[in-house]
Amino acid sequence: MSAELDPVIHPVHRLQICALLANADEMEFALLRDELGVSDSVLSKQIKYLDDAGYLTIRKVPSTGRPRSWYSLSKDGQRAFQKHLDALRVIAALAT
Amino acid sequence: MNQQNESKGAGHSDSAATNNSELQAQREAAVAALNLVKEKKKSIVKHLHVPWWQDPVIGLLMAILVIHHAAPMPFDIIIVAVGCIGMVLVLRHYTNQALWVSGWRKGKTRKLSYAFFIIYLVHLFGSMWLNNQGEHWIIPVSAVSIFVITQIYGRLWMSTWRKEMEAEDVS
Repeated sequence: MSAELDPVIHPVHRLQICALLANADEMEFALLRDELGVSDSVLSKQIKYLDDAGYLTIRKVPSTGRPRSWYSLSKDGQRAFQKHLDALRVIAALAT
Repeated sequence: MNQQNESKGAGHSDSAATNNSELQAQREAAVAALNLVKEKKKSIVKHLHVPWWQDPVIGLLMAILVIHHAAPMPFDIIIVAVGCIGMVLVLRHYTNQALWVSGWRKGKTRKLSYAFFIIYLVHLFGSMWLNNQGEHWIIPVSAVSIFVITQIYGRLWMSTWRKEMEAEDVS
């Protein structure tokens, strides 16, 4: 098993986004923001990295005021996150 | 010569120590990342709210979707339409939360959902067949049965999902 960390997922905020989305089918922007404890702009930026890598599926739902954005991990995103977790496990298991 | 060997040896042990501390740092970072993933997985549980009335309402809708065939036309179709619209409204309420977890998600809960779906089909076609054979008692019995099974399924599904989310592994 290789221990290659995914540079897109590795930063702590993106890792948290993937961890949340990997266990839910869809999550709304506001909940992701509150869970991460970051501002809208910080979350948007992190989401853009994941989206550009093809790891996210975004669905915009019309709502009163601004449309609500729902996020889920794409198939590629799920695979990449799983590989990233495998790599973390390999590194964590290394003998000191 | 001896001095050269000693300094080489010291160099090797220095670089080994550096490598070891780098490895240790990487390992600690990986453990911290895995703990963070675990923590986030656990935190999802508190965001999924199932109101007390959801399972009883779904149970009632399932019951009318099982016994609709006993009603004469066009009430049969009207009852199916009411059941389907009711399901859509319950789902809509559910998705008004900021989190959506499908009943068909991967994991142990999917097996429960398949089992429940098969039980529903058995109730539907079983009651249809027996009712056509003149066994009309099957209508109230299958309605009550699917209602009760829906309550059990709902609770079992939630507790299985919670256990999975709170499990120590991060798969």
